[in-house]
Amino acid sequence: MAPNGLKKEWTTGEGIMTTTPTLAAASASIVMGATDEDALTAIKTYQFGQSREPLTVVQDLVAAAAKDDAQQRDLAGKLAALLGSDATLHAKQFVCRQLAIIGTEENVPAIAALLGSAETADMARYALEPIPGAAADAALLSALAQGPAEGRIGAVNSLGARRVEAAMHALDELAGGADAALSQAAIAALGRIASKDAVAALERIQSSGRPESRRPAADALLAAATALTRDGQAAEARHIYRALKGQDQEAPVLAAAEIGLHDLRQG
Amino acid sequence: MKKRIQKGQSTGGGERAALSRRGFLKQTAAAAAGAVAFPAIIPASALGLGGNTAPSERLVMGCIGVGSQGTGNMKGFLGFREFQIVAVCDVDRNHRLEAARIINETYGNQDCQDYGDFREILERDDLDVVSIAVPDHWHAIPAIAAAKKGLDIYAEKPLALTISQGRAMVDAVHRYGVIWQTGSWQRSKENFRRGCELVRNGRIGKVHTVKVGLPTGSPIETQAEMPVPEGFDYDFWLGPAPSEPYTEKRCHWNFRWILDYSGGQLTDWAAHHCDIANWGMGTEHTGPIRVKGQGFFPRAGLWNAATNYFFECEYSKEASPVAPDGFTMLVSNSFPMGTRFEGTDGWIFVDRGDVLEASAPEILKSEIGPKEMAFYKSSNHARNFLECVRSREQTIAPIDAAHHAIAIAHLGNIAMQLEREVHWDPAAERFVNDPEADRKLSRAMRGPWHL
Repeated sequence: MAPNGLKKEWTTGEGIMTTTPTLAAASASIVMGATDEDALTAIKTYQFGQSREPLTVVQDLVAAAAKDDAQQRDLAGKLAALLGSDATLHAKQFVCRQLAIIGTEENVPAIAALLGSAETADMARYALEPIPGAAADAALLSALAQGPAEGRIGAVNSLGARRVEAAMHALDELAGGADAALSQAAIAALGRIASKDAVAALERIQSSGRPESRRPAADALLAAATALTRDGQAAEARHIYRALKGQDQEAPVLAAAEIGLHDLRQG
Repeated sequence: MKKRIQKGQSTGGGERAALSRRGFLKQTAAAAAGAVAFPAIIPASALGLGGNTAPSERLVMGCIGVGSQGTGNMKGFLGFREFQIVAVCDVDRNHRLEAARIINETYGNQDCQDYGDFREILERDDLDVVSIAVPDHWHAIPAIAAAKKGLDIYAEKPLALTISQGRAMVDAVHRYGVIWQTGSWQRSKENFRRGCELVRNGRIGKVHTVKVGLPTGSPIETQAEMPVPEGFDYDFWLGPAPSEPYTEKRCHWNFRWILDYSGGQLTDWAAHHCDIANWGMGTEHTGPIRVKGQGFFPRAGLWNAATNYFFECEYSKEASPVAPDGFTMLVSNSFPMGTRFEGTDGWIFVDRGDVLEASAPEILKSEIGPKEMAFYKSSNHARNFLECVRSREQTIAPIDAAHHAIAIAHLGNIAMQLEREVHWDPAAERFVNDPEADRKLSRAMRGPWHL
């Protein structure tokens, strides 16, 4: 071990790594014989203010498991099981961070169980948002119908970030709802999804929605146009820009519509 | 003002410049002479009404984030009579009150208003520009909100906490046509510009290696939870980051040593020296195709960003006009601080303190000919921002450059955390057939925050 914690002393000459990176320094504890179970048991009682060393041992396990699918699924399952245990809140938060890296659809039910609590909902989304597949989509969709508004906003935001087209109708409904913050989050999420139906919903909000929703909807349409252009759907993007350009919009929206059309012309 | 834009850069000026909010304001102001009713959004001050100075002569500024860096920037802007700072915002009451005191003392009045919520300062209808200097995990949200308002933005580096947040910021700035200046002020120093210009004009031949030296980080012991100081809105400070107990060493300047909020010395300084590397190599609009390396991340105490690190970025043959065979960028705290370009005909090294060195004196004496590439010149970072707000030209430190500079550091951190090589598609800004690595391009934000 090099004194700086790296596996070798780096030279300033070639500098090219000549060894394959291996587990970082303190995975020594693993090498010394600690099992997954030992390491996971050690984090169950973790509280902020204690050394993070037991956590970093588990982080090493997560990094190492990534090299083997079966090992990764096994470890993810063990981590997910901690979420339903009497582990401390801080331990569960840490577990959510790890499941954001290696969690799979199999772990979604255990994570989704945390969505209903204000104390754990955000970290549950932290784990769920990057997990591919319909199970995480469905869990986030279910969260739209429960809990306090702030937690539901989080679910809306994650559905937008994942561009979940199946959430379109639920988001459309929330966009027209009475809760202003939830409505604006839903409008922004529709813009990120940028599907044909999402754009149509935003255009409807533009034409017949509440006055306070018009500007957020215009921004969401502009964001959708960016996404559509990037997805190779220039004609759809042009339609959005032209429509906004012809409306009574605030100056930044009109400028953005002109810029969008200009950039499309430039190719 | 004569400016030459580097080849390959998109220009913020020209035809596109006329399409900005300020362009629309000018058009509307002209229409106002014909007694056309103004849209409600246009502030009277922006049209030169109400006894205020017209925008062509004075730019009304708000400062979001006035801790040590933000106050330093604010003091710099106070030195320009063309800016008038009317409002400050910070989640720490002590910071914002002190900033307001400095402004009022400078102007000899009590007009500066202070805010604890950036959304309130952005609701003002008299702002033209904002200066943003907040922790990295807060960079994207207020910047995008300001762009939606059509405000021009001077914002601190490193651009963003994640690559996806950086992309969202770039998109928003382009979408609304606002002027952006990153606080990567090394670009406004002669030695860095001259060194990069020599590299780009082939004075060291074909470049094969770029070595970027950055500072070494520090660990800290475990910290106990503490009561949140009165006047500090800690929950707002955390904002989109995961909820964690308050402790003094987490906040203010120290945020940058914790991966929830930043990327350590690596990201803090890559925004300077990797940016210079990109400037010299002409790789400001692309990135590496392969990254591997190793870092030591502290394991016990509060701070968890890499303290020692070394990673290698491989660039394709198409990436740089001065590296037709491709090149390697090495980034580490084990190199001398600064950026060293190594080519077939010599080397050039640049660093702070006006350091500009080369393998041979004649390299530094070399003149750039009329048919060669002359670099965009700025000798004062704040003034360059001011001039570009007025001219609608691209600044010396545009947002695309900031995004591609900090992406290098993010890719290095990701490769080091995954403990393996990663392959990157710089055009798509995704990893190549690597869903595990793709998960690290973004992070879920704590509600209610979102991009």
